[in-house]
Amino acid sequence: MLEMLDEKMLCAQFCAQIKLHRRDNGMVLLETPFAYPDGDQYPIYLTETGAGGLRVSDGGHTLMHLSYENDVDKFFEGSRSILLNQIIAEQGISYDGDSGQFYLECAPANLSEAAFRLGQAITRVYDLTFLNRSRVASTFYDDLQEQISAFVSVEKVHKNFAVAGIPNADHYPVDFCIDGKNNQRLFLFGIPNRDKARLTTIFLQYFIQQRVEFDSMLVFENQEDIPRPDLARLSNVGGDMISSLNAEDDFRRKLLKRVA
Amino acid sequence: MNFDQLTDADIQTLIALPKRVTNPSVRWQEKPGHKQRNLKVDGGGYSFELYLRQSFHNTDDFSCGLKVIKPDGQPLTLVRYNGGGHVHGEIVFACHIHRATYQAIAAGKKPETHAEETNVYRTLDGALACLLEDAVISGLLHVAHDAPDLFD
Repeated sequence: MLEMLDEKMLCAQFCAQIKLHRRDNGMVLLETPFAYPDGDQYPIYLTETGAGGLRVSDGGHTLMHLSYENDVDKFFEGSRSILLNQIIAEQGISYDGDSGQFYLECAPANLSEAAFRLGQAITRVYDLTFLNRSRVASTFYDDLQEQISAFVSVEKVHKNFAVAGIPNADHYPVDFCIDGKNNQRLFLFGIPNRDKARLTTIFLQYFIQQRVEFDSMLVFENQEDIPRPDLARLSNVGGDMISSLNAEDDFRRKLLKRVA
Repeated sequence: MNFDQLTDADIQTLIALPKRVTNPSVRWQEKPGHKQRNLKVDGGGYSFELYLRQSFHNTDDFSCGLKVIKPDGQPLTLVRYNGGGHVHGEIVFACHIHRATYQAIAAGKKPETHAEETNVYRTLDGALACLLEDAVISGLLHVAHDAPDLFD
């Protein structure tokens, strides 16, 4: 198979994906296979420089595209800013803070290389979204409490509950103790990570050992992130599980079955 | 509604819920290369955000979209009405409408990957008028559809 490949065929394949578009508004754009995750292709604008070269730019679209779901100011602060400057340096491109454009200048003979460099740079800039704080567990407990409050009246919910009548109760706080049906208490734990999964296993084992009467419910930030052995140990001692706060209907159904 | 496993019917339900903009007086903000306006929208017990974007560099490069805020606080774009400033697959520099689909979510792609070409608007204002109508959003005044293009 490899012997049948030849460079002419490969070049034709690559070329088929590259098109030059002269728009009615006078703009000239280069179409390439580079695309954002939603399928929109990078607009790559070509303009002449005063020195007879070409300026290859994103026309400011990268930042606008990022702004759909991100605060673009954050890309110029802290660790994102450091990484952004690193990308700009490594890819040999420039950033114009007034126009919001990533660009580079080249001779017409070097246009293809310049277009690929800009395309790779835009891809790397877009991937800075993986650093979003919102993907971190910091707001998980707030979100969990808010969702519990949406289903259960406030007076039935006791946050950081210490179980009376057992030794060292303060060392084993329950995230949320909810007054359930038939005077049965529901101990609800939020599980944002592996450490909390392990800690909750220890707590539940202790309550069982102390013959505490309770039901339990475990709400994960993302159950798939918990290693299998930790999840197995927790499953053995815990009650109902909710895989994430997005499983809103399941959470409500299981909670109301025990509380309402 | 299980936001981890949204079906096409769930997505359509969210789009078709009657909604209202709660901060209609919010102003445009200038950002590098574009201006933007983010509006809060409530409806059916859910929170949404309506966002408008207009490039300073290319008048054809504009967007307005509707995101639902999931219970975990993360946004999910339900629809986005784009101008013709870029190519999307077979759609070459024409206005197009992105829409979240079960198929894209199940495949692990961006939910709003699917897009279809449209000629029902040509400007950001026109796109906004269509979006407000299609997603049953009230509370924004003075939004008008684009006049018919006499050359179409």
